[in-house]
Amino acid sequence: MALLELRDVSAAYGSIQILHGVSLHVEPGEVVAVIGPNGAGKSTTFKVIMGFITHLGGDIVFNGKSLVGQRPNRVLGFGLGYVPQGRVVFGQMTVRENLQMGAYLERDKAKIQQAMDYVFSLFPRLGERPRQMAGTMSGGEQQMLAMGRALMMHPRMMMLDEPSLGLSPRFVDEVFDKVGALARGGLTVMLVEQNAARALEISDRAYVLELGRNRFEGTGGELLANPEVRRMYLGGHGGDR
Amino acid sequence: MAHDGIALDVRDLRKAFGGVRAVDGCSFAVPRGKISGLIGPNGSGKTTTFNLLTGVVSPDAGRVLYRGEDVAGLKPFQVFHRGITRTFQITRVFREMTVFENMLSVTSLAVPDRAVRARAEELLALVNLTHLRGEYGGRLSYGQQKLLEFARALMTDPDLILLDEPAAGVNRTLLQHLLDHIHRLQERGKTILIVEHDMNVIMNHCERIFVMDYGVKIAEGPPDEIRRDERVIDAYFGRRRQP
Repeated sequence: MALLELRDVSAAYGSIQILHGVSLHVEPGEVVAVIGPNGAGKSTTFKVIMGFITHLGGDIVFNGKSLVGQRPNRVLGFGLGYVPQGRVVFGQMTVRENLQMGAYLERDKAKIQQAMDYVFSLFPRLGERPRQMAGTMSGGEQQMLAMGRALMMHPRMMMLDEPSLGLSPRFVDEVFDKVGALARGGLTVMLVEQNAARALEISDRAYVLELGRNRFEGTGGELLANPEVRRMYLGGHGGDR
Repeated sequence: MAHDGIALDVRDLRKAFGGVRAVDGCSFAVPRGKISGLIGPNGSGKTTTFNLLTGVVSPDAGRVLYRGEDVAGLKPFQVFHRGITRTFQITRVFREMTVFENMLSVTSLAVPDRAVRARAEELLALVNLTHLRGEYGGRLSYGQQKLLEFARALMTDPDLILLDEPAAGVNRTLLQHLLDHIHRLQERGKTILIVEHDMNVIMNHCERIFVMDYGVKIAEGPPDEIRRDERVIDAYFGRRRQP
């Protein structure tokens, strides 16, 4: 059974409808990418799953539970971690405090410490400076911190929105390495990426969205080899505009 | 050096924010009297370039030649008075002025004369906002604010019009209307430069396209060439890991 399934999901920002019936599924242990040109609805898909924006229709089921109408803190409690776009860390808080914020639903101090030890083992650079202010870290380090924070609740699945956006090439490599390491450790991962080539390389499967609808799907390798997928990034779905 | 066919000559423009070189030696020449497009993936430096061309941000280096004068580093109002105007990706209408007052706000007359008011009415009609002329700017939808900004940008009859994402958030019918008008401006000899993510707008309406990636121009040409250019496709689609 799929860990996450979306069936014919529509969603809007206020009065502007962005998703027009998106369907996808993620099996346990998979790495699934969602790609597509600007305005495809990639980040919106994540936001409607998390309950941040208006859900207009369709089913969203995670681990047997419907997420429709759930608030983000509830979704988080169900075991779905989310790393938003743009390295959103608490700049005026230390690394340790940021990680503690990630575990705010957890009461058990021992469990929080255990989770923090795990995050520090995964991202040694965070472990070396738990008292550094997050705002003074480099972009790549902040991305690691945002990922670490999402891991503090021991999620079954993690959704990463544009993890490589705005990072230097060296950190892009590092971020994708970490995603690979998390997946090998058994975490189910879904990521949205503008760098489609890199995302497809590390993904078992991927969905290509365009203007809020499913356009292609397949294995990472299949989509990398499909010239139509490359071409659609420069338009050409006709239209009179 | 004056060049008849060039409206705006951008030479080796540079701007860094902290350690990030947003625009890193960018050069291009906007052809006079045509509709051109400036495209590139997220974070490639398009909007910073627009900000440099219009005085919103001062360049660290480089020149922007307009009618034989270097306008790089001038204040926004100085650039505006030379006949260059723009719209913004995030609209900047005056929220606590009415639609009509927004239109008049860009004129230098304390008491706008009949011709100015007539022009404002005409432009509002053009973007289908006449029925909202007495409404506060802040109460318009995002799409309506974009149309108001576009109409306001035309109040001073500028020669060079820079449009930052005109299509985003505007419904298809109004967008078609707006594009028709952009073509009419071009037919009247105006120069238009558009930053836009909607590739169909760019490919169907621009004669010449400049493509930026990592703060530099990586390609330039007509739509058919740009669409097939592997460097451009790579910039958008990403590149596989380098060994």
